[in-house]
Amino acid sequence: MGADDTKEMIETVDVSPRLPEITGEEHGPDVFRQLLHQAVRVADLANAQAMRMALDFAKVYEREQGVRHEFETQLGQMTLMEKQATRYAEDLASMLRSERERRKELERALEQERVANEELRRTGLQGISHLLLAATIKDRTTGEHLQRVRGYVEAIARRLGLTADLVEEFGYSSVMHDVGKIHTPDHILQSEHHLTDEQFGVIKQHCIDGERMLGEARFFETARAIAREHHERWDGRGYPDGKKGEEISLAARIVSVADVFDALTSKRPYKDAWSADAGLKAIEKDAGERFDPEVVSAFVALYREGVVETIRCQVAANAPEQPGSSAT
Amino acid sequence: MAKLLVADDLVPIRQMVRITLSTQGWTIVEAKNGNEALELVRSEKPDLVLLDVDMGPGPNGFDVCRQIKADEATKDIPVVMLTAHESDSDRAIGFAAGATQYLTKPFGPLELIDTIRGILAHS
Repeated sequence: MGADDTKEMIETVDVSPRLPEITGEEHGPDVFRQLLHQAVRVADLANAQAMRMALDFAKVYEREQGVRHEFETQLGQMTLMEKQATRYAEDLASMLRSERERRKELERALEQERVANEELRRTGLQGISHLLLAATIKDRTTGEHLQRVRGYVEAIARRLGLTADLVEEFGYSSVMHDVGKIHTPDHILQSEHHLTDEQFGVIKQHCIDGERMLGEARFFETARAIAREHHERWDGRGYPDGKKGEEISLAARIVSVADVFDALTSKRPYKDAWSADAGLKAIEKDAGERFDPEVVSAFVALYREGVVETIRCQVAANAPEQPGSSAT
Repeated sequence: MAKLLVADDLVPIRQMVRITLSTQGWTIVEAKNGNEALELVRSEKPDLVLLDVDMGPGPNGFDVCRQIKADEATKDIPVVMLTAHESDSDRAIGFAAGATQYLTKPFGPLELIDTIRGILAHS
């Protein structure tokens, strides 16, 4: 390395006083570090030299003057302080070493935890697809319905400015909103007639069952809220708990719009499919009553931009791959 | 938070002890000789006392320890000797004077912290 290189490096090196990083190796050849090393060595030599001189002078002085022990205390203290400083330096160095070891250990553990979490996530997602298959076969709700709901939910969530992580979480959680229907008897689910109060009570139960079926894992937290609350209404006249406004989780408020819109625009045992325009009108009409007005505005905007239509077409194109799509 | 008294005639030793122990969140009171140590033990009522032995004129660390233990108001305060006197006979004198622990110089920071922590946990 030429003298000019060194000069340049010294000028660019950050010499602000701070403790050296514990994981110092990755800084590479560091001129500042070398200079510091040099300085410490010089100081060390000077210190040792000064002590030797003091001891020698004391000896000569005492011999020449015939006095003894005059400087014994000071010299003893000097020697003690030097030993004390050395001991501290050694201890601090070994603490630094064990801290570095501990940190490596910690990083390894974190990596293991990350892998385990990823595994758990995959298992969770796999579990979802099994649940879906079961619910789809039972309910005759098509896989396409769930796919579209998921598409709408993710689009609305994105439109409302949620983070990518939340958009994904709302999406995968939305497909489980009706898992509780696995307990609902077929004759009630597929009834083409007006339901009695008692039968309606049974229908309500699917929200509570759904929440319970989704256990306690953090992974299903949003899914539990959606299952429980997706039939609640903004004005508080929904079921099962009669929650209103922002007492209902945002995810459930979004799913409610997506689910109703798709139900209106799909064919059901008791009704034909409405046109998309008619479906949208019905949603708009219920803003502030059944639905969160902000969620409706986001959905209307998406509709006008053609996003809703795009999702419908995409799902229709992928249809044969969906489990249970042949059940309709 | 615990309050500790350190008595030593050497400024750098007191500094080292103060810096080391303040990492544990403990409050440190300093005395530079035996008389000052006795005064501060009575007025500050520390949770633990660290005593050097040779502290210039006045009572030495062993004397200070004996007096702390003789006073009803301060006899329960644990005392740790911190000295360059490392012979067995000096240790025996220290324990006979009522010291709970006996550390010799040069001491390491971890040794100091662990010793004090252990004593505080038991009192």
